[in-house]
Amino acid sequence: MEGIKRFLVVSIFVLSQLFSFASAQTLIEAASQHPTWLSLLHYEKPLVGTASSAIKSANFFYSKKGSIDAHAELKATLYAFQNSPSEQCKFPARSLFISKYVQPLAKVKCAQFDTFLSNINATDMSLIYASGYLGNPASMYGHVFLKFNNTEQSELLDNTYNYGARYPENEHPIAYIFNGIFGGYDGYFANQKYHHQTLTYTESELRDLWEYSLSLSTREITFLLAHLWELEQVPMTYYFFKQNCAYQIAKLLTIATNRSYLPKTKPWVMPFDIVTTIKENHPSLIKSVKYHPSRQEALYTRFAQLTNKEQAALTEALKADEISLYSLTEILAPLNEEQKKRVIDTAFDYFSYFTQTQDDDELSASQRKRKVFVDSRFRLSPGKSNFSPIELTPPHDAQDTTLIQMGVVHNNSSGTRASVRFRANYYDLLTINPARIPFSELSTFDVKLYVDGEARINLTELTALRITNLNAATTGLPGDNKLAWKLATGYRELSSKNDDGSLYIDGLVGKSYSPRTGVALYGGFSTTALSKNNLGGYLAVGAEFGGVTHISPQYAMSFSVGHQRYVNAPDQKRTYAMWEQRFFNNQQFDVRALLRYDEEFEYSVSLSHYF
Amino acid sequence: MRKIVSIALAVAALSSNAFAQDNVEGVNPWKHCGIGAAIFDDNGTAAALSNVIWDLGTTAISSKVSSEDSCNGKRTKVAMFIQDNFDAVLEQTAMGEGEHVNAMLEILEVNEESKADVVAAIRTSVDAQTQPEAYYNAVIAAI
Repeated sequence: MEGIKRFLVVSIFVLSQLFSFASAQTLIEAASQHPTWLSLLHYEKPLVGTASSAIKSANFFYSKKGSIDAHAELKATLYAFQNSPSEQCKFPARSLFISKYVQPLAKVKCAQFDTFLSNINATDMSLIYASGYLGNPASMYGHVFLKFNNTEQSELLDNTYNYGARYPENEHPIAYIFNGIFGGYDGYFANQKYHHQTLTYTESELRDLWEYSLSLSTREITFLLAHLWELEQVPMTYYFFKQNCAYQIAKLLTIATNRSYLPKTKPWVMPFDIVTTIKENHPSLIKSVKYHPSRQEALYTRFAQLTNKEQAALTEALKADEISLYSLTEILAPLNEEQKKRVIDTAFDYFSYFTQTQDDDELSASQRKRKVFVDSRFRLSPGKSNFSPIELTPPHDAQDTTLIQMGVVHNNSSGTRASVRFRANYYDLLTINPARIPFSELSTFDVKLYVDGEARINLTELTALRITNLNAATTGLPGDNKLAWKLATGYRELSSKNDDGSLYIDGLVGKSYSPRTGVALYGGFSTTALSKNNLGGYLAVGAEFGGVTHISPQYAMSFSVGHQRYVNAPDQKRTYAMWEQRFFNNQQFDVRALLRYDEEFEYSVSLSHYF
Repeated sequence: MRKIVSIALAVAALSSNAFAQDNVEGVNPWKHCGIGAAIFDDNGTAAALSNVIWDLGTTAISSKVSSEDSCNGKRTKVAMFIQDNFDAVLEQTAMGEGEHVNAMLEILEVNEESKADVVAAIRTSVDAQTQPEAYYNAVIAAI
């Protein structure tokens, strides 16, 4: 009897141990497939095959199979944390995850990590969207980064985290673009103070910043920072159209909140997609949106708020070849103290803008002039000048960036046909473009097909890239007259009545002017290079003028007229014209009417869907 | 662009110099932490510019530099801040207030009630010709 009892006790003990072991194994197995664990390891699921980590550094994994086996990595991490608890300090986010989903871990003091957290001292977090910058191909689509807010101090001292690729010094532009697109660079997260970011964006690159204050708990922010700590100097392959800043920032937010912020409708990700995905799918994440204007936008807005008398004084002072404190005092003499402040403070925005756009000779003259304005301001009483705050529509209210368009087109040569168009990115002169560069266009992979009544498909156009920046001057101040320019390249039919196609490069350099808000007119020297000379030549040069006007939110139109002659066949000429209209004000839809002349007239009406 | 280069070099200088002597009276951040020298001397820090963020185009990465201990006392921090943002700091000093001036005083832990007096004192000792180092000295004298 005693033997049976002992046998039962031992059996129960063994079984309970086995059960406990099995239970722990089940827990580990389940936790290893938890989305947060997979995110912490940066596992990605390809279209074909099994998931693996985007991180290839051996130091990032405890298991030799860690980059391809999340279960093995969790077991190895647990083993490391149990046998050497200080290992938790290298991977504090993993430690938090395991403590929550697997088992409690021994408490350890991580002095460096604690200092890191206390230095950042984040009580709040924001997603910052930087508007596009046409001066650099890598920055045209905007940028996003995170700002960790310490509400007890000036926001300029807050810490930010960026993700971007590092590339060698003096990299050739072609290699730069190729490697950026096809994974030739490593990307890293990096920390900088927010005042460095404002200097980069709003001061130097004249880009607006939009701050989305996010509704995250302290626990979520701490978890996110813990993972950023783990990613210190950990490279991930950078791909401009997918695994870029927007993608990695969205992944970080997912780690903190267990929700996805990546668009599901397209295989690429751009910064704009993140803010619109948050706005459309998780609006409660956004507490508020704050606008930080570039110095250029600040100049334009303040100048528009000056009275005629104030504008005249500022213009006179800035147009003078040289200015002294005495002559500036004379120019400002008719103004009262508050008006003088408004003029001088607007001039500070002007000089900051001017610094980024002018050559060295102009710059030194400008700096001398700026010092006179600074001295003049020192002589006035302290206190900011009064301007109304700038209120602009935020970027998430812009029209979406990928376009599918169906329509009907007619010309005399080919009759009436259906048209189908797809544009991968991004926007044109007529789309609803808040928080984008005014009077600009950035289109990539824009393909248009015509289909006739017998279902014959004709490739009419495949534009690889089209960039337009009219740089419309609005103030009339010296230096506020940058060049208007266009560049487009791809394949297209030679004209409205000629189905032969040709590779092409279009260019334009000129000047533009904005007589009032929402209107820009331009004119300039235009050129077209073709791979075929069916129309008389390979290279045509001439002149073009045109304009854009957003008459109301529901209606906008653009037009252009050009005349060119072929360099290698001067007796051959080309005249072209275009008038396009956009109807309705909707983020996902509009109707376009296009009248085009290129050897003959062509009319089309289309329904556009943006996503 | 020049501002960016200055920032990149100055940030790199801070991260590569280990003079955490900022609390010592009389320390000159420009001399001991390489702030001004980094901008003009060919001392190798330009290599940091190769670490450029592709998305940003121009900004150098110096990871975790903002929370490192090296040369990281409040006077060095404020000297760095002044050097990086000097145009804005001087303009706002002329105005008598502004977010950069406010941030500068916060680095120095000037309390809210004293800020206006400190700015007033700085205004009396600087002008448009003042250079960053002289401006820094005026700030230190005013607190």
